[in-house]
Amino acid sequence: MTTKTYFPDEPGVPLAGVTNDDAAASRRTAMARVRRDQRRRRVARIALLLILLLGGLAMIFPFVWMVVSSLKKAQDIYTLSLIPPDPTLGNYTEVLQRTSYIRWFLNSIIVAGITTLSVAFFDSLAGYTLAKFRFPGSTAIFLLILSTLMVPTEMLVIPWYMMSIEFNWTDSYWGIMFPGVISAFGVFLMRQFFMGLPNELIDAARLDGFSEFRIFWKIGLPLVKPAVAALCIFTFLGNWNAYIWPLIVIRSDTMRTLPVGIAFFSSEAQSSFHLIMAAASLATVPVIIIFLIFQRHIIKGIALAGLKG
Amino acid sequence: MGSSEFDPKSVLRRAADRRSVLKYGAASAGAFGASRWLGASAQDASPAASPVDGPADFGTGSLELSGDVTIQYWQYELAAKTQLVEELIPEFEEANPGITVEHVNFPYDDFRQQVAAAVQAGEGPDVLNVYYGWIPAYVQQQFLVPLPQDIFPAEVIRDAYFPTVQVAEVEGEYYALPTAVRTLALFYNKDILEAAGVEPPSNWEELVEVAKATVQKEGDNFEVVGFTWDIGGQGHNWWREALNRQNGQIPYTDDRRELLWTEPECIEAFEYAVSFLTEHGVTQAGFQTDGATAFAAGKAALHIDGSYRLGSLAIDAPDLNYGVVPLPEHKEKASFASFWANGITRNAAEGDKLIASAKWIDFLSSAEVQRRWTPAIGELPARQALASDPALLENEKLVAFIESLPYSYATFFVNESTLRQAVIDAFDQVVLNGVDAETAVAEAEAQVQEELDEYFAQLD
Amino acid sequence: MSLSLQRRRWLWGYAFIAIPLFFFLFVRIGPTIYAFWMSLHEWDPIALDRPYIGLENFRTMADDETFWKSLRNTWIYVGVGVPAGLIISLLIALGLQRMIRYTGFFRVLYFLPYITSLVAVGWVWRWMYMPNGLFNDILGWVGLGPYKWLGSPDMAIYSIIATTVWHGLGFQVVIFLAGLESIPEDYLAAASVDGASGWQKFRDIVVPQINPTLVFLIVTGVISNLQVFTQIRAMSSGGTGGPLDSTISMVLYVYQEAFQSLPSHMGYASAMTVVLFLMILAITIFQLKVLQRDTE
Repeated sequence: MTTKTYFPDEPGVPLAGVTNDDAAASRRTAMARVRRDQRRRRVARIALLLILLLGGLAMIFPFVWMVVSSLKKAQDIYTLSLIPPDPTLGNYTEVLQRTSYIRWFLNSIIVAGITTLSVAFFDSLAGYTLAKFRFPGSTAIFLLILSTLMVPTEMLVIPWYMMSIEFNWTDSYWGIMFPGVISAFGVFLMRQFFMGLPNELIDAARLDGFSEFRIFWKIGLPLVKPAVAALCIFTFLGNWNAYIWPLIVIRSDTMRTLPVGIAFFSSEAQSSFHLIMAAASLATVPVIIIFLIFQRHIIKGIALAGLKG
Repeated sequence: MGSSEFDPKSVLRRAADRRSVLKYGAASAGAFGASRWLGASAQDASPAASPVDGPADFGTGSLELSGDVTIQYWQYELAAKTQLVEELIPEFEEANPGITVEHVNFPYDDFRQQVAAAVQAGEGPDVLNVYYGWIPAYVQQQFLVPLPQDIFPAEVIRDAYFPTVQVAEVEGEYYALPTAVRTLALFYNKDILEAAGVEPPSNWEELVEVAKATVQKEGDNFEVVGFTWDIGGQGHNWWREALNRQNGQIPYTDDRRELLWTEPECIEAFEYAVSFLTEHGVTQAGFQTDGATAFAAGKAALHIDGSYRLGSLAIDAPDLNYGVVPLPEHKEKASFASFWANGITRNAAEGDKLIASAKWIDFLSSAEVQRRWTPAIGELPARQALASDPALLENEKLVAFIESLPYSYATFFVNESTLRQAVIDAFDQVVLNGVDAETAVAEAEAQVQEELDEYFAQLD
Repeated sequence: MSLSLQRRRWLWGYAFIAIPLFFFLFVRIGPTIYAFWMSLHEWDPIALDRPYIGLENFRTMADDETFWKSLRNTWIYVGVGVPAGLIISLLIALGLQRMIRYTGFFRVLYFLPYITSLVAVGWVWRWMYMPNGLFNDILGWVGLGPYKWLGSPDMAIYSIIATTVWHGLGFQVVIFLAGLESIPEDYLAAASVDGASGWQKFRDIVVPQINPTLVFLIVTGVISNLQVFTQIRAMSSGGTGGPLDSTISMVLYVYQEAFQSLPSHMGYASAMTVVLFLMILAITIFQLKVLQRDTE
């Protein structure tokens, strides 16, 4: 750290090669160079800011256009204006009337919520077991679970579908959820985190007469809270947006999750884009709001899960 | 909907006496009030409907059940249809004590999957409302069973129904019976045509002229298309059964075994269709997504579609000022016909379920229901006798479709989706990849012919 | 008779793992085997019998033009989508890293699409791609177009890839940033003292340091692009594979053959998923090899 010289107005940007014992003559030219560099850097920084802003705009513009379009009347939908000429909430009321939107939303929350709780519990338990217990077959079990990561979901949807029909699970919450209630990725992730837990801690708890489950629940789990949170975020997002399996297993309108419902509504709406955009807004805006509230945790969680995974 | 104007008692009375051949009196004209889009004048102006030739149903009223029975009736979700069927079920159940009809709907996109899943689970429909083009496949799977000949004699169906229904006949057996059929006709936007000072076209040349006169462009962007480019909608049917025949070429041999798409007349017809997009520049692929949407939005002057579009336009674009004329003709007149039909599945192959299913199909295809069907759904009666009904002809928009019925043809499909896709691909090859028409059509023909050969090889 | 301490701990282990193990056997391993088994049959759920046909489904694949098209397209999704996403997201991450203020704001901005449903945003993009939609209108101002976008057999697949890249960018940026932040600052500072140019620093320090991140993003990117489905279905009319099947992916074709065609070809669809599985297996083995070399 000591080798760096910071200029007060440019915190964090190190400038190499500028030291205090330069000769006075060379100092003047050096100062000029530094000032030039400074100027150039400022320009570069503004340019960078502009580029990033422009990129950021491109990222959110589709959402802006979606909301704008959803507020336009059918006859204005092909106009280019960013401000609806005659703004209306009519499209939203029509979508809400024509679809079971509220029900779909609840279905998605129920499905993603229960799946997330289940994954959090079972994956932590399995990860903890595989990290901290040695018993005959434990390595084999770990490899077996790991190997399932290689099998694409698409290969399994047809057999799952057969299974669901066989056990009469189609068109039920359990039918939508069952393939995801435990995730191999999560087991792997949690095992990684539990590996870092000192064994001494567990042994000490055992000496205190804690039961094994209590050790996991009261000591192990609280120590990997950030990892559990990351896994929850990952799982919830994945299940909230899941499409192919719910599309296959759901039969009735009332059991649809939000993506499936939106897809059906959109293709049935006969290309009435003012309605489709209202439906798309209804599907995305609540999620965006929740994201904005918890953005710090969510982004941190995703980074954590991504890096360890 | 129309239920307030419709007199249920008269139907019940008739339903109770289903053996008798119905004579339609003034009372039944009220049924036509169920119309959403039929003009008010049409309701009042029909003092008496024409009598029906032949039996109005197949006389299943006399069949006895041994006990109570529940049958499942499955059809895809089309608001107008499901609403009407919801109205019909209580009437049917009241007239047939002991039978309960469970009505199951699902999205059109899900049709095959829903049926397959249910069959796999040992459930599923007893009576299925099926697109005629899917009948051969369901028959091959032994999923549909023949309609019992002692109740629904094939020769009676052949006589009483429009010839297009015969496409549902497989090896001398009928597997499904429609309530209604639909034909294609030309929709035109009255305001746009009037502004351009042109009349609706009646032949190939005029179609080009009117499309040219009505197209509106701003630079390269279309404001209004003269004629919708709707190959994925009805365009492929228009070429196959209308343009080819109009040009003097039936597109397959009489025994349905061989396609004749590469005959010069068919290629010529194909090129005629393509010319609207390439040569005349009066239309655009994907303009406002599809033709029906563009027409409903008042952004298309001409559009080819089926009569059921009348119903959806009434809902989506109640203020649209439009008319309908028969398809522009050439050397001959021709149009495309299609239908959804009710068939009995192997779930109801015997016993009370079979009897109840037969009664339900008989009821759905009875003259009485067919008369109520047309105003509510926009599909045309499948029984020949009903098409001359003056009450129906009162509606000027419907006339064009009804007029086309005698020269409308259904395509025999072994596999409806591959055939459709093959024709759509042929058009795409020409307009997007610049392949010449003959090569593109030949490729499509070869692909479909292969499936035909396979199918008939299995039959023989 | 009391169990030894070790035995008792074993029992706890088995008890803890029992439910997850049962789940993986029943919901993952079993169905995998079942899929292999189905791929050897002519499998139509409605038909009364499902004959064993050996490798016939795989032979059919060889002659099936649509299958080859779907395979080719799938590799276009991977081959174009993955590098494009990685390059753009790495550039953004490098840019964001140099920012002193507003980094949190930008992170949120870029991350936003990732949390939204692909079905919904697929329809939003489809709307913008319309022949008389937003993109053509804007390009019209500068005298370009109109383009056919999703309606063109040449452009449709790249239009969909653009949406995919846009949707996944935020995730990749966040992961890259985390990787970049883990590079010890001394390394870069030392290189600066040695007079290394920005490019040299990037090549010799940044890339090797974020190599695990890069491998992770490549592998997850390849695997998720191999399974692309939702956006194609949302952005092609009628859920088909675009004009002349130009956007159809393997998974979409599997879905069509298994769940939409009449009669249903579930055996054939299963055979295609077996091919997909083999490709993912190959990539996973490759990844293990690369990672192993990395740690040696």
